[in-house]
Amino acid sequence: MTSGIPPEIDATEYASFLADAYLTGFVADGGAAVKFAVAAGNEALDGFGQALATESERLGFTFVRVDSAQAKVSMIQQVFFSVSGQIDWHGLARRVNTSLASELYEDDGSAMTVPKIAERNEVDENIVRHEMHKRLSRHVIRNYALAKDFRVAMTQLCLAQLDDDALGQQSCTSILDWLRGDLRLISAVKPLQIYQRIGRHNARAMLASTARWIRQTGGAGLVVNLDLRGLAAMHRRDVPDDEIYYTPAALWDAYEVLRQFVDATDEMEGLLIIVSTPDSLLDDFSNRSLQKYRALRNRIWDDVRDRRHVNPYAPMVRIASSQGSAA
Amino acid sequence: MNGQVSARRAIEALRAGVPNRDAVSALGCSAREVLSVFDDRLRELRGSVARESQPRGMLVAADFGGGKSHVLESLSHIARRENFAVSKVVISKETQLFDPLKVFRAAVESLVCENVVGDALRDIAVSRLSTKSPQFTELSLWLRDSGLNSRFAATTWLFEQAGADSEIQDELVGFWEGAAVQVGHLRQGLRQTGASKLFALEKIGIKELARQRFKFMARLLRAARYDGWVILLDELELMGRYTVLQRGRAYAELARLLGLADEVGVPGLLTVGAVTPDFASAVIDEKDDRNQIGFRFRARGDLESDMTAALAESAMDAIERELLRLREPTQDDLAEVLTRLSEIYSAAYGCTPARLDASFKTGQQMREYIRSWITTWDLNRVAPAYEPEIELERITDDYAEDALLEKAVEDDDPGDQAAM
Repeated sequence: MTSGIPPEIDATEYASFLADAYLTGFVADGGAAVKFAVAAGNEALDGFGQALATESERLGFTFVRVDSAQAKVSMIQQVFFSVSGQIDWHGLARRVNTSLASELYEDDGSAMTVPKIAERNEVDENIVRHEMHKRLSRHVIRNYALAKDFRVAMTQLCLAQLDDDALGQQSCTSILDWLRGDLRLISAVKPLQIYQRIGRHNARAMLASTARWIRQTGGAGLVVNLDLRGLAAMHRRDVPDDEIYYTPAALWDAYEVLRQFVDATDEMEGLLIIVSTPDSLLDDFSNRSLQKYRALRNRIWDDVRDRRHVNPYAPMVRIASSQGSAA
Repeated sequence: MNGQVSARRAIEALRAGVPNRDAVSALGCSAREVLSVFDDRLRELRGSVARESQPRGMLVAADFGGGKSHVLESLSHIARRENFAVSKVVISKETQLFDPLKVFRAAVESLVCENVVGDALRDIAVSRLSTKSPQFTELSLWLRDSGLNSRFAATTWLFEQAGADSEIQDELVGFWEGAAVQVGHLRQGLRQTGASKLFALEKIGIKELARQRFKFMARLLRAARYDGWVILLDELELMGRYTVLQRGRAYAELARLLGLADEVGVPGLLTVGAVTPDFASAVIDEKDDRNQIGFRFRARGDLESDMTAALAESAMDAIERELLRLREPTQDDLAEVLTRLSEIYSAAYGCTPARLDASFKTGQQMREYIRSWITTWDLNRVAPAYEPEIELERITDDYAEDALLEKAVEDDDPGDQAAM
């Protein structure tokens, strides 16, 4: 028989725990995990999110927040687009170009374009272009740990930065639109050898590739804080006009997206997904309860737990709504 | 990836009750009967294309937490090691068993290729499918008389002609993966290659095309030099929560996948499903599926519905009579698992886990033992002075109907809904 009241942990303590036990030495070394942080009030979840962001950035991770009230988390590609919109893709490409160029050429910290590199190093531009293409081919195009379209996109971004001409800028715009879900016509990226949109069939691979790319460019990895408070509204009338209301079917789709993340950690490296969950979504009696989507419940529920002490390693951890943790 | 990270991954997966590659490699699999039957089926699968027959599928059963997913992952390892292409599909709201196109797409998306992220079929098409190989020639010859819709032969022809044109290759592989293809594009490509009269591109319904896709894919994977295709279907019991007609259709699709009827068999494919052992009593009997489904479909009076009824009945027969039940762990099993788990935990965290009680407790599932042990060790590290007291909350499931599970996912391609 259970004791009835599951133990809890302080929000800041849990964020510190995740930093020490997960981000350092596991995720930073290529591991991946999905955790659910449950709390009763906005204050606790906000506090936890902020503490997690601080810890992540302190350890060199890229931290992004996906708000289910703004991004349709029932569609995995929308989760990816929300993440993508917060990534400094240009910055990552610059890091790659700088790193590859420094294998052969002097870098004085100024613009990393072919003309500038050539001028600085008194080398013919065509030679610089050829060498950089060769390196990009070896380090990016042939990095099969990245999804094919992703590595093509990253290569194109790197090349566009190197050439820094009108054509390159147009390519950048198209690639970024594609990555962020803003692309109107796929024909804009076909000349860049990308032939399909990011959709349900490939979004998870794109997210996994993003985490790997961040690591390849010298970052520690990616932390995604998926905030589910937007799922809790019972009725459409309870939701502001600029926020998303999840029908019961869409809610089930959202839970399925989460279930797939839990099952997919094998495919992921350098990625920690923390799902901030209002405890109203765990309510036994609500038809919107996560408990009703059994495939997810069966994976995260704390059906095996200690009577009094929270296990911060558990797939689902309950955050205290005020200071102090149990036991 | 270093050994410590692999060990940590294994422990993380076991905490969630989702056995991953590392966990299964380390813990092994003690389901000897299942492994033995699977070995036999793989042998049959190798010769199934030559014999034009599909090996009969397998159904593995255990209660929640009893190790079904672990066994499926073990079978995946074995099959991949022996050069079979493997797909692992979890029946869910997104992958509805009554919809063969969704099952097909999920199977192709989940094809596992070593060291490739996503897009496994595209990688297979580029790296393993040589249009100059005898296997590809064999595929092309087979397609001529296969009875499949000519879209398959046409796209295979165009793939051969495409050479280095990556855009065309991409569109064709997209069709093979389950996407719709614009017939106008195909006709244009055939005209350009002088083959416009060779392929009729006749109309076909979405569902029938989806069923044919399985036959084509099994052959395509052979052309890519795999010895066959294994599909592992997890959480089949979800179909117990469909409404009766969709449940009937789900049974029928399951029968097709398991190769229960020769006339709709898929040579080159072996399917293994995992289901709960009480499905027959709690669903087939309690919901009177034999009568309800048989009556409703046959009352429609058309051939397709008669076929659905017959296939559904054969799936119900298989669920009632052919389950391979995973036995409860013995005392020796528990001791061995605890020892291995302790080694994994030690490798993961660089500590010596405490010796724990591995005694058998009636009704407790392997998942509960493993999570209890891991939770105890976790707390030993987090709070060394604290004496853990582990409690279990029994998770119960039922088969109450949930129509939400049948609703399409919001972004489903509207093209899927129309006949091609």
